[in-house]
Amino acid sequence: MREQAGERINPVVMEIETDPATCAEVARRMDLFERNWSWLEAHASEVYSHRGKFLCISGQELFVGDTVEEVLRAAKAAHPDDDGRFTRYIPKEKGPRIYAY
Amino acid sequence: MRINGAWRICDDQITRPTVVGEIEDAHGNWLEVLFLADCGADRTVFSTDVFRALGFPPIHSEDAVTGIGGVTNTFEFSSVLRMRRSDGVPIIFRARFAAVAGSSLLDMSVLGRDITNLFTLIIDRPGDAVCLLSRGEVYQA
Repeated sequence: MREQAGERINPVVMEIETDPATCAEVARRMDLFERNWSWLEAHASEVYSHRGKFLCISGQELFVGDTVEEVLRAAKAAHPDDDGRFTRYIPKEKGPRIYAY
Repeated sequence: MRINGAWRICDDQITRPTVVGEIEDAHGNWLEVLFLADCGADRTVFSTDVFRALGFPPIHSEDAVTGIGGVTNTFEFSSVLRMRRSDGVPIIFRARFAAVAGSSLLDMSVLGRDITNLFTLIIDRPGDAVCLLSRGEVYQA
C-alpha cells in the first residue's frame, strides 16, 4: 500500500513493512526505547536538571555533555548493544512553548 | 490502521502529546526519536540534536521555517521514518525532511501535517490518548 501526503510542502510516501525480521527488529528497538524512557521518567529530576546540555539515555543510564556527538560517543561505548537510545537537548529556560513550525 | 502515541511529561513538567518513531541515519542505522504531535506544524521538523546524531551533511534548505521566533534556516535530508502500528507492523514514511539549525530553536522534533495529513490525528487529554488513525477508523475515548 502506498499513499502520499504533504504534496505541496513535502511529498511523503507511506508504505507498510512486510518483512517479519524487520518487524521484529523494530519491535525490539522500540521496546528498548520505552525501557530507557521509563528510566528517564523515574529519574526525571536528575535528568532535567542539566539545563542547556545535551543528553543521551542508553542502557538505562544518563550521559550528559555539551555536544550530541559527545554524549552519543559515551553512550555507544558504554552500551554498544542498546540501539534504543535517544538524545535530547534540555532548554535553558522553562515555560510554556509554542512550536507550530 | 492505528499508530499509538502517548502523553509524556517533558523537562518543564508539562505533559505533551508525543509519538515515537525511528529514523534511518546516514550510515543505515536507526535512531529512536520522540516527536511532539503538532497539528499546527505544516511539516515535520527535526531538532538539532537528532539531526547531528543522524550524521547527514548540513545542506541548507531553500525553505526556511517560520514560527513564533521568526524565520529559521533549516537543513534538509532524505531519509526513512518508521512508526509502529498498534499491531506491531512498522509503517514507513519516505521523504525529504527538515531540521532546524540551532539547538535552542527547537528542543523536540515535531511531527507535522506532511505526515499527519495521511491520518486522523487524535490528541485527547481527558481520554489520555494520542493516536494516528487511518481513514475509516473510528476513535472512541
